[in-house]
Amino acid sequence: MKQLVLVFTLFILLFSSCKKEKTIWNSDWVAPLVNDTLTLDKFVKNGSIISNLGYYELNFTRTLLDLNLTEVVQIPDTSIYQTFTIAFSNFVLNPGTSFVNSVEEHNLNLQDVEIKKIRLSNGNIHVKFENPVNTPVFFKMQLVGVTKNGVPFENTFKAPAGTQLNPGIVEGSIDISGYEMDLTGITGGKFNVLQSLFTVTTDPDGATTSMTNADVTKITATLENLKVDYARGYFGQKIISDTLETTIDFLTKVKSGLVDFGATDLKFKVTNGLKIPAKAIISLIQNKNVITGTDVQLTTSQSDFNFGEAFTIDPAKGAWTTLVESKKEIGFNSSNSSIENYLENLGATQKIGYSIQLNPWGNTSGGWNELFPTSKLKVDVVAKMPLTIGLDGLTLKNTFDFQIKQDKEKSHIVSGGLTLLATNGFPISGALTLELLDENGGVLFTVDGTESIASSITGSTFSKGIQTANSIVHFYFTKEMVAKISQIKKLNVISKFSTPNASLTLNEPIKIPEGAFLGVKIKSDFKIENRY
Amino acid sequence: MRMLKIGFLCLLSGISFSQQFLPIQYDSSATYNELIVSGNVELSSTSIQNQLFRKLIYGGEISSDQINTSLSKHLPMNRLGVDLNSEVEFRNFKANVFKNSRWGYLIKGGYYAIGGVNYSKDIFGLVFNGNQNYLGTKIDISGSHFSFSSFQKIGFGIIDKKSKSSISLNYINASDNQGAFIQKGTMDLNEDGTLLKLDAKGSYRSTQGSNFNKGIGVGLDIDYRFMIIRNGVKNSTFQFIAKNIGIVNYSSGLQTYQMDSTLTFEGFKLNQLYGDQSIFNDSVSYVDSLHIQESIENKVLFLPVFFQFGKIINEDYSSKWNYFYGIRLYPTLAFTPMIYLGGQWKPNSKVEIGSQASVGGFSRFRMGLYSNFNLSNWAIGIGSQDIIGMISNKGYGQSLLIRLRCKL
Repeated sequence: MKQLVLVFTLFILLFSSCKKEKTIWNSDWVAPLVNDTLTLDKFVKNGSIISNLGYYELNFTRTLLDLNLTEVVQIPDTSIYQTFTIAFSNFVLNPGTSFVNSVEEHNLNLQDVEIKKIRLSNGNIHVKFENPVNTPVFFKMQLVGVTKNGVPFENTFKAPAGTQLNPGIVEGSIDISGYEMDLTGITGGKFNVLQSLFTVTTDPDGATTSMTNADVTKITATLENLKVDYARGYFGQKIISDTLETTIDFLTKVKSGLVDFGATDLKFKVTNGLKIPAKAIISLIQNKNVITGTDVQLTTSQSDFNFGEAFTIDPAKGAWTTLVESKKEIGFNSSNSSIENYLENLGATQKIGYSIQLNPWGNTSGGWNELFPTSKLKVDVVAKMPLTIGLDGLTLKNTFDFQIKQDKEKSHIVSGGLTLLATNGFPISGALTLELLDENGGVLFTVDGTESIASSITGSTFSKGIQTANSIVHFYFTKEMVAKISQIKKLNVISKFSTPNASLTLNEPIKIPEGAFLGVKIKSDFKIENRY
Repeated sequence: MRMLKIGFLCLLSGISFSQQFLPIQYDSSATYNELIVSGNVELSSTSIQNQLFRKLIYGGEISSDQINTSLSKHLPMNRLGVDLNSEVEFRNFKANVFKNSRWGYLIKGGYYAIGGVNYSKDIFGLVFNGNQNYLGTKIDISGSHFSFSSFQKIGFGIIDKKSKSSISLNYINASDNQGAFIQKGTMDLNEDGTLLKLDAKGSYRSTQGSNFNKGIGVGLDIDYRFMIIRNGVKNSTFQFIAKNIGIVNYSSGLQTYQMDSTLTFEGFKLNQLYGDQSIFNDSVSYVDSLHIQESIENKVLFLPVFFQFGKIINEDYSSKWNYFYGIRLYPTLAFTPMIYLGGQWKPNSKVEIGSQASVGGFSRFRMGLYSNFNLSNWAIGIGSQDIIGMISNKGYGQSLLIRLRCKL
């Protein structure tokens, strides 16, 4: 046995000692990384950009406010509770005996809104009947003035026999979408009033029983989730105000540089589909450049509009299919406002303050405000102008997470680079720089591209009918950079854009041709030290 | 004393290697017991020279010049193999197995590791130079295959006292098995390195874990010797060896990967490099796109069976000069049939010196040299099947053979 152990020990020593050190060699590897074509097609498809005479134009519409009927008229969940008792100490109930209460009125809590008629697009009634007598009974529920296609609302439920202590209970839910409700009450001169009528009948096939004045028949009906698609009445002097703040992500990446827009035309379009008069105030339109910290407020000088001053929004006219919305336009262009300065501030955060009051002069319509299914109060901002942009060193910075772990004792990258092959159909040049950052955002290394992506205006080739310029940009990573690659946690891609003229003497606003594109191919080229 | 002798021989088995590669001396008159310790270490290639081979095995930095020199020596398809084994065998000629006076018995055990690769020149270039040199060309790795297994065996057999023919049944403990086969494999990178096309169909299997026992099996070794009698005179002795005829059940499972896909890759879209849909958040789907199917299967595989047939040297032959020849093959490996031919000079009863030439196997043409020393009850043989490889960086492998035979 000892000999056997010795043999194996020597055997292991022999073979484990064969490998004195690691085998090392270098190999060069090329691999495609990125292949993409950047176009404005997405914006063309959604209509934000249109083509005119071979060049792109901005045709941008964004809805700032979209107020619909459900936000103007909101009906809270409402419960109707009724009980039946008899005046006699003992009353014999033969099969089929009915007793009926009178029409009851129930007030819907709508505060200063006075509704006379509504139509429900959605909603249901949850009912619960409690029967204290020891024979089954039928509960018939009628809502007076509530009809669907002219048919009054009526529903019957059968409750099982019960006792005072353990009443027979029946529950159910009734869909009331599509019903019209007259809320003017029994007299027809009220508002927000719902009428009900309940009938209780003992089972015609049941046994004869008796009822005392201590037996209480209970009915609970709860109107839930009511949504209206038509309403008539007086909708009060509701004030809707807000300050909208939005961030344009793209502009947060702008670090420096100038932009020069050509002729600009920005419109606010107010469309009122409510048959309600209103007054509105746009208190401010302001943006902030996140790098410079500069706030720029849009100013204007117009006869029928000024910031902070109320303007009238007329009610819609007509009804149902003949409804005609009222419209109001407030335009900002280079001659009547500071719109160019405003846009060229490249403010990433945009702030718009507004206030709208319904029925500013009270109930002047005799309670005849009306809302239809298609009624909306909308405010859109519309920009339509040639996409002519001048860039002078506009610098954008995009940050990407980056992580490569290398173990120098194993196969690892020792040097290499990236090569970008660009086919540019935009009249915009771009110089690219990579910043390699540590985990605290500190710049460890900066790698400049060997040349800029040339503007199409300097190109002599044509692709897809577009004048293009081809460029090859190398980014070389030295051994020192690669040695510290494990410390690199983020990557900044800094792009500096300009719009040079054909002689490259000046940056000036240039039209973007229809179909412009930027074809990008990136390949990696690394030397790997193989170790095993 | 007897135990010491056995122990010494066992010790030597750790640094000595297998018997079939040294010419066998056939002693028909032997009636004594024998203990044979043999060993073989064999690394050989058709195309990789020792200057590179040594660095692959012993370590060191391989220069691009060495890589390119070796690449220039490569054929479209090339072979490389390793054969390491050591074996101890006890032959008892005094016992009468089954009361048959012609039958003795043998007991043997050993360690065996053998593997071979059949690979294209492009694989070598790709592994050692990378793909940069292949821009605009198609890399073809079709038909490449690789197989390696290591196992231990212990066996018992019957030996014919007269002819020394034997047959033994062996218990096998498998400790490793790996294999790959690329039925179809091409990689095409365009001239500017921006378009990669991959067309691959192949499989890879490997035992899992670090446990010593990964499967068990059974195998048969046959050593059949016969004599040609010409003109009534015993003339030549021939030997047919078949080893490792058997199977192993890899009960701990073989990890198997299979791939059959055509892939064209031009790079990622820019929006795949950042955000929630980033490829860095969804690495699995890109592995899936290669259609690699992974499974763990219990498999029964053949052992790397070995055959050799040839004339061997008769120890009691009276002439000073003798010769031997034969053919050898591992049918399951990247091993082409090897033909060998050699001669032996026996200046006296104690010394035999021989040389051989061979073609095939894991390598090309090789010259070998060996010597045997007979010292009363001991016979020690040492040799190499590739004498150039032992002394020169220009060789294509290394080979060392040792065999000890002791009459007990």
